Amino acid sequence: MENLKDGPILQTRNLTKSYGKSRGIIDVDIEVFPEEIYGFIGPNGAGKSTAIRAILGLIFPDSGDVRLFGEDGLKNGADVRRRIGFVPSDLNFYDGLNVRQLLNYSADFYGDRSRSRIDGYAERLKLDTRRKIDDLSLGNRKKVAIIQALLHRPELLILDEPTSGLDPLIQSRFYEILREEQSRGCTIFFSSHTLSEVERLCSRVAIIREGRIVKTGQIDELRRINMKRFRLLFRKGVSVSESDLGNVKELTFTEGGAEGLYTGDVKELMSRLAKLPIEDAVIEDPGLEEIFMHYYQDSGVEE
Amino acid sequence: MKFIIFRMEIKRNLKTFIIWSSAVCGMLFLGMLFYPVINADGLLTQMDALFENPMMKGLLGAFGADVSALGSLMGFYVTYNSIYNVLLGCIFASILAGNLLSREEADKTAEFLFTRPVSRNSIFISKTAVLFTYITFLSILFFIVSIIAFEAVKGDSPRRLEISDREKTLVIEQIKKYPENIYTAFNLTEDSFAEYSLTYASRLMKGSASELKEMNLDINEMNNLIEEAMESPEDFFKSALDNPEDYMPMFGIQPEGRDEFLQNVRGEQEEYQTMKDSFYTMPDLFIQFFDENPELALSQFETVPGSMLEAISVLDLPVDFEKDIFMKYSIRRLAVLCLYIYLLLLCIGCIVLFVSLLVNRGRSVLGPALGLVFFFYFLNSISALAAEFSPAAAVIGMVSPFTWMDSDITSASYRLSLPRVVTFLVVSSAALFGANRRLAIKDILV
Repeated sequence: MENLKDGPILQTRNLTKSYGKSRGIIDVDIEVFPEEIYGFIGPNGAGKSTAIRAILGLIFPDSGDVRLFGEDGLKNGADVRRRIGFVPSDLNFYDGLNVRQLLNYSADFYGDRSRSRIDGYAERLKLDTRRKIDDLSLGNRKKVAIIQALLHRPELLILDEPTSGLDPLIQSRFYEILREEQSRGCTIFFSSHTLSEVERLCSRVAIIREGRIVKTGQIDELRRINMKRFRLLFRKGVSVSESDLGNVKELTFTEGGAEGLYTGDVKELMSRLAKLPIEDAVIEDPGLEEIFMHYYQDSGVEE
Repeated sequence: MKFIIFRMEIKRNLKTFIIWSSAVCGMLFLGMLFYPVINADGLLTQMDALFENPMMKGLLGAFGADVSALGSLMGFYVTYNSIYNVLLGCIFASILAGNLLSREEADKTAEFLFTRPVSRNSIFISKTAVLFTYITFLSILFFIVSIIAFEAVKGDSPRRLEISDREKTLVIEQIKKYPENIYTAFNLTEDSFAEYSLTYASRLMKGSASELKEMNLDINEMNNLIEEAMESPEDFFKSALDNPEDYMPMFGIQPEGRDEFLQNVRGEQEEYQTMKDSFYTMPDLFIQFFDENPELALSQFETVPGSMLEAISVLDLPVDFEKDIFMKYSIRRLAVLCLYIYLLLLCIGCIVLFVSLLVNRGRSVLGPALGLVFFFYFLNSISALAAEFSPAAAVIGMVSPFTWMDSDITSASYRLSLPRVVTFLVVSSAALFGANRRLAIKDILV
């Protein structure tokens, strides 16, 4: 164990898998080191789930290899998976079981102590363990997926879009749990298509787009992107010119309003908006696809 | 492993098993209750003649029914049960096998199962064990319910003579020990010789049809002659001697051979008379007849239970001998049939398991699985029908596992045949091996 401390917990080299159409991954290289929370971001359909399935041995790559805890992930699948907890993005469970039966089933694979942790997590995430799996909402299903991944105190957590469908309160409890896991010594591989979520949690990220890793690095680099989408509604009979808004892209005027992308300091945007005769304003994170379109194209990073 | 997957899968499939096994066992039992009804007053035995009609036989054979077997309880059982219940059992086996692995993908539970800390090999073994367990339970239930059904209806069923080679040899040994007692034992009189000898001749003739053809003799005409002779051999010889012209063409003898023909007939007549005279003093002749056709001597005891007691005592046969040869059903043969059914279900299950893994992303495998079962089933039926006309058709039927079964349960010498068992086991293991290899390299896509 000690000598692994320095090496990566999770490493893929030239991981390539294609099936049929355009879906697939090409030459994916990822290195995740002990006790970090590693973000894996990309728009929907970019290949995140494919990469994760290859890491977990659900699918077999056309070329490249996967090393987990320094071992060959494809050859020693069963041993390696014992040390991993996995939250899939879209998970169905066996019909006819209730939550407790399913969690017990999952816990039994890992040893006696796993069962005893069910109640604690269920309480924190507000999940009623007596309910039938069939009747669960998407959010509750997600809770089951999260709990089953945590029960055996894994050394590596692989999370594929874990927060979709969770309400904000549960989301923050989930982040809290993740930080606890991290301080316990767990390494976390966090896949998401929401930039702000990754920004909040992760120290390093890999960005995947159309099956290729387009960028890896510290999260701070991403912060510099600092792009916001805004939508404005003007007061009746008033018009605003492009120069009033500063550094904007894709500005389009709609009936009685305008929308576009703003790059730069949000404070500056706010002060500019304060001077304008507007009725309402929405400022939000743009979609990742949008960021890629503008940021990476403009700054000359390869597609 | 602590059988975690095995226990869960047993639990998850229990409901399906209960429903299907109730259906199979219920139909098996209720179906048997029909037998006393349709066999009221021995109706089926009387209809034997109708069932002997080749057209009728072929037609019913297409549906897997050998109707001539309906005259006995076991015949009815195997005919009835080969139509519905084995097919039902196979459908259950294929639904179970088709669901075990491919439904995990269809229901998107595969991501859960295949990320547990177990190898694909042990997942495969657990799932296969579930398949084997339920098929074993179903076969055992099948056997037990069959016995219960037999016990329920045997009181109203005719008993049938079914003598095995071993039993036949035993009787012949006893006859050799007590040759003087055969006349009392089998109620032989001087006139019995005609029936025995001519039946013997008729059977010999059936066995040597090709030789008759070489001698330019028509087998049907010969049979008619024997039937005529059986009514009264003396009258037959007399008529042949009085009007040789009526008989000579059958043997292709020209009018100028008349005297030679008459001489031959006289020779035959004399020989017949000598044999008839010595029949009552020479048990060897009887043994020869008995060896060829034991049913003739024994069928007289068929209808009346206890009528054989005297024969048993004078020939010093085992006390239960009457029960042994006049059975309503035989547990041993039933067990053999159930073993064949077990092998068939396993084989179908393994094949469907393999096929289900060829389907990606768990697209519904139910249709192909059921289609395969019906394909095998009707291939068997149709090839059996076509084989009546062309032997080559039987070869095509060999593809179907249903053909590998031997369901000739009404034959006293019915037993497991090694080549059949080996065929089942080899095909099943090959399918299992293929399925395991396939699962080992399969991409789990959900």
